[in-house]
Amino acid sequence: MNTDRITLAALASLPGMGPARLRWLTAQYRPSDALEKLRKGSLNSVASGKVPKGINQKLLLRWRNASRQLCIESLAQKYDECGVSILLPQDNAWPFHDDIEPPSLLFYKGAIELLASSRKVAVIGTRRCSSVGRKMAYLLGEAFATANVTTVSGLALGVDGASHKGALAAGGRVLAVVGTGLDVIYPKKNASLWRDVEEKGLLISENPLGAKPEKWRFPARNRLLAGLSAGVVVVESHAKGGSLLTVDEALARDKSVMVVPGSALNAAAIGSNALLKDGAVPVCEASDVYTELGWAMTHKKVVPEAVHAGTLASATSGITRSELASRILGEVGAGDVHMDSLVMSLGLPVHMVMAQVQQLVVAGDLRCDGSTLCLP
Amino acid sequence: MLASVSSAVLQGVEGLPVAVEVYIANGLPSYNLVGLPDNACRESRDRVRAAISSSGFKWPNRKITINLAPAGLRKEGAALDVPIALAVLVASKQVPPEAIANVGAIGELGLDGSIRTVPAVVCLAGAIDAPAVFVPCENGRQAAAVCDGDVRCNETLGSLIASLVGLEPLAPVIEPDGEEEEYRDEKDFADVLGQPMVRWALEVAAAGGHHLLMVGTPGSGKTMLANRLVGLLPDLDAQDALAVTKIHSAAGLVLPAGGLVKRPPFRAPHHGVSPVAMIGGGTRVLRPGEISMAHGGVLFLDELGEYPVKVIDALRQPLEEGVVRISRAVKATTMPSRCLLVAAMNPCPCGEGGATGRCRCSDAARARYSRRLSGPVLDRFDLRVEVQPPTPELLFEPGSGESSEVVRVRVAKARQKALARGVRSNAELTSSQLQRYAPLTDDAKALLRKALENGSLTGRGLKRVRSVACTIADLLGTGEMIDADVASSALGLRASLPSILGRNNDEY
Repeated sequence: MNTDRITLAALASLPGMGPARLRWLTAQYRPSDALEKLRKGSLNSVASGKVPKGINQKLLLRWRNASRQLCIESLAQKYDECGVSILLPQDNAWPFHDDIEPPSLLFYKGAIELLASSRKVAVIGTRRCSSVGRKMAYLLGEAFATANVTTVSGLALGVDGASHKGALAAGGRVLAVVGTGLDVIYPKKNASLWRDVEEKGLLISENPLGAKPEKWRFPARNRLLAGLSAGVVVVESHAKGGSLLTVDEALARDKSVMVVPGSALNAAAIGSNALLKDGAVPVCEASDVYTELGWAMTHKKVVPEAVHAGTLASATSGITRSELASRILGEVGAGDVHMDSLVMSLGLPVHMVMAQVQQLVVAGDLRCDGSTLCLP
Repeated sequence: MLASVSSAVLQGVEGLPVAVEVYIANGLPSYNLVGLPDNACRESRDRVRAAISSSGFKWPNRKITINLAPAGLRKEGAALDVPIALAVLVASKQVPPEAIANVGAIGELGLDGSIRTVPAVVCLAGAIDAPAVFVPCENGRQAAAVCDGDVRCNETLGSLIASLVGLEPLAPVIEPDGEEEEYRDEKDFADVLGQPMVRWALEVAAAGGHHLLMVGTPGSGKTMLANRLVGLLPDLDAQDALAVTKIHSAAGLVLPAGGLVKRPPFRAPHHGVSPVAMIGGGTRVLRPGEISMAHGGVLFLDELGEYPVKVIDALRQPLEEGVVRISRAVKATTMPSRCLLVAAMNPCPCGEGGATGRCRCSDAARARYSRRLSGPVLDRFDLRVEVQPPTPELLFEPGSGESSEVVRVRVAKARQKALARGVRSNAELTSSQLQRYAPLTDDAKALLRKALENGSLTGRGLKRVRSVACTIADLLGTGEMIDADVASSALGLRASLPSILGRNNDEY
């Protein structure tokens, strides 16, 4: 890793260093010069340009002390160990060339080529979403996955995570922009999802390793979400919330804002419904998103695969295994079905149906949620 | 003069023999009761004195010393009134000593000399080692069921003594009742409408003694189903019947008219239950808890999520070992607690279980709800089913399923197979016994290996699934080897819980 990158990462890790301050610093100096000046304490707080809020002698003193502690070599080693790479504006993959508040650098882990795709949609919403909201986010993620659209989200609880789960379940591309350092998994509950995104998608952040989930980092993260995507779909938002901030960022960047309509009685949809009243584009299915963004799409229908055939005939009813399996899959294919209804509509002994169902579940041809069956 | 009558006191669910010794000496009139009597026991003096007088005898106005041996054991209750009265009468030479030789007695005295019933007669009578035992009339049948000696009942102290000295014929010996206890209170399985899945789960639970957890929305019939489970269980065997009768007697429950409890009990404590009420204990008298009262039968915990965590966790060890050990500063006892645990709960606090558009619970509330059950507790449930309410069409149809009687026959057969393996039910089979009595075919092994690999089954769960499979094989009569069909059928009865409880949490 070259010194410039790691020095910039070091600057980013100084206490109280946000995107605006870092931008101000890097606009004046090359990273190594900035670091040297900080260490000497010779940085002039009124040097040039528009000085961001809060830059004063006290902060410069803190930066001086902190920068003297920095060890570039060990930092480089740490980034190598974590497998986290640094992206700079001069890189080809840099996505924020004409952003109004671009980050000074990006940290990433995973498939960087995802940034190049123009078909990226952000699915955002409240963490305290209703079950319908969660399901909608999941379904949108799934639909985007089958249409080769990258799902961008923030890996938060609720809507964010659900959209990623949907996209990953359908084997699609996911891009997560997080508000912490890439080694600080937040929220903890999404740890396994976080790792899935790392492995199968792309995880980016403008925060250096070790950055804690401080409050101010999340609105900053939201602007990146808006900046990266072609459009933003709000699934559910309370009357106040981070999603609305993301929408403001999207509007400031002239991106499409789309909203999933919610029930008027749903507290979790008050904010999102208000956006609709203000003229946001309603989204009831994924194709509404493609229409709004002007993308031509050919729909790929998912057809259930043929049942693996068995030859053993079961003794009591004379029905063969493969017949039973295909009848079960036929019943479930028509919609989620509870074991009770399945047993009664097949008219066979419960242990027999259950045996076949479980074999299908173990083979991955069926999914069993409690006692409710659905296609995987 | 000295006299002694045998009797018994209660300790937990067991009676302990006690000798009531009375010594009357010359001296200033006094009445000394020694041997750690409690208040009810100490007050016997006034009851005994009045009863003796009203039965036409004379209270000896001399120095009376009464010793309840063994002296170190605390004596509770009024059951020793009758033996004290008998011993006083003999010691005061109003009744010849031969009359009370080889006689045991239990009973509380009324001031008019009537003999009243006392709690836990079954346990007490069983502990008295005498050829003739006199008990209160209400408890004759029950005492006869457990007592080795002849059990006789008298209404009053007067008639008891008259028969002992030969003025009246002895009261007839009470015969233990051999009649079949009726299934009158048990509701029929045929009332269950549809719901084949949970019907099957109940049958397997009854046959194999596997603990069952039912998760379902309100109105899906969980309580109704649990009520019917006990009707599927076979009658208690002689040994269990005795143990259950003793526990119920000690707990002060109403015993059947026939004396012995022959049908498995059904206990459904409310979720406000305290740990002591569930497990047993108490400061003075160690009472059996609900789990002991359900010994041999079904312990039903409705709204499992509402029980205090402490109560549920306290169930773990008694369920595992089949006995509760209770130790207090002054005493300790062991009570049997081998029961079939059946629990029902809603999928979430509002009950709609994340059903799209209907559930009103936040994620946090759902997570809190499912967290109340510790993993080790959930692990105790071999069978976990999601109960779905019967469809509207079925609600108008008369019940068409099998009746309890039919299922009970199959269950009894399966239980006999378990007995032949040396356990009471398949749930108790150890890993090595499973290997021996219920080996897996290669197909079944492959299936379970796949389930283990894709994470739907844990190593601990594997053993439970195998024992359930063994029960299913017993019920279906498919023979020793567990094939893939039976194994997967067992797998299906162990729905993974996170998916039931936090459905939308984890799936979307």
